[in-house]
Amino acid sequence: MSSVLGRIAAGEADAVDECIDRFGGLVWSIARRFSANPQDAEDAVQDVFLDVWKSAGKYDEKVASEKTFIAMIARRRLIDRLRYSDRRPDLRPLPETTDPASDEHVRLEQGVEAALAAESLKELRPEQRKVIELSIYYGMSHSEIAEATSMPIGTVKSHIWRGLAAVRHSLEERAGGATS
Amino acid sequence: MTLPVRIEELLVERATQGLSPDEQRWLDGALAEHPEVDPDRYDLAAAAIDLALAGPPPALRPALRERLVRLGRDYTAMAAPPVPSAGPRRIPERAPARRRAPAHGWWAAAAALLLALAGWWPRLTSSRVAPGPAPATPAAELAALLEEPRAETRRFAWVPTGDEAASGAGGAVIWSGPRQRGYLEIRGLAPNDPAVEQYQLWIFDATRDERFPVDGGVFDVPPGVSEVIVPIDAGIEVREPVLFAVTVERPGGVVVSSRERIVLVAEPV
Repeated sequence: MSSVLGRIAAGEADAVDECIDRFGGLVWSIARRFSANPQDAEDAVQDVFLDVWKSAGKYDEKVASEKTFIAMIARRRLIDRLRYSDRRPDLRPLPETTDPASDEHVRLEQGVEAALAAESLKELRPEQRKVIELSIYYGMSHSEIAEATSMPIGTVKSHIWRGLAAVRHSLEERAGGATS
Repeated sequence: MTLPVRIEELLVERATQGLSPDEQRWLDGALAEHPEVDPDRYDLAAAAIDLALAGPPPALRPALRERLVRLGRDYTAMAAPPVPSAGPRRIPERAPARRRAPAHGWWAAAAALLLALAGWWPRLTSSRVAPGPAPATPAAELAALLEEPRAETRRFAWVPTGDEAASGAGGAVIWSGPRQRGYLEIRGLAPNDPAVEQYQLWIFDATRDERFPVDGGVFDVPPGVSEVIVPIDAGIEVREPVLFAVTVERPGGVVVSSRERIVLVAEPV
């Protein structure tokens, strides 16, 4: 197996260090966004990496890149921590438009799934895209988004579902395994 | 195919704001009935969006990287050879377990501890995988821990909470900080059916947020076994353990405890 996660699953100690060096910044950036302070974020990063290493055997390169897989695990852990923490990160109200990463950065640095997601987001209406950004990037709950945007909660949920579904379809088409 | 609407709703909720314990339980059951559904479908989409919106990741602080590398070393050491299914071990008759009878006042202490526990739940843990590496001879390793200098080995006494599964149960937790290893020694805990429920250990570390105790892994008590020794799979560094607790959870352990059944707690002896 050549993937870092595959080698971790096979018990290669060096692969663990490589995993930290390749994905540490990614995990830290998500953790910092979803944590109230740097100390909480550092604890969360350790939890995330343990989850990553324990889940390494489940990684399937036909389904997603390692970066997307690890981002998924990090988000799960951090959403759970956020949900049950009374120390919320500073969820600043967003300006009307956000400043997402450049297309070139997405394509070159974040991988093909991120590029597909970026393309899908461009197809959304501005208000849908804003709700997705508040939810996915800023970690705001649906009710927080409804309050911040003055949208009905049902509309918020609908926008989130449509945005995620669009990206999911893109990813599944790429993987050649659309299931629905 | 068209998925049941509720499954779709909960997968989206999980990917964006998490689920309550009841919702997670429902989803687990529904997904078990729909094995054709990829449970990661929306989580992966959310991760891809996250990456698309994020800028270049920052570098790790060197101190944090060093902590992760040490954690990785510990993990690698614990995970190799491949982890067997770690169940409880029968204590050999000659196991040098130095059991301590619970001191007077433990029942009251247990009640106080339960009150204290109200503050840390609900709590999140990693999705449980197989518990930590079971040494070839857990009783021997427990004996080795007991022979270590007192300053390096901490002992905790179990106190039942009133849950019927732990009526009359007792025993100890032996924890070595330098080794980052430890064992549960439990007598009288009711057998469980691993297909229905498992026991799960939680470790409270004074240096961590008390709302997020360390997940110590799941274990079983087979029928006919009155005493078990279970290696502790802390996973991450436990710097200053102050309390251990055992709950009853669904097979594999939980991400969020329903706090319905706390069966044992242990404080330092």
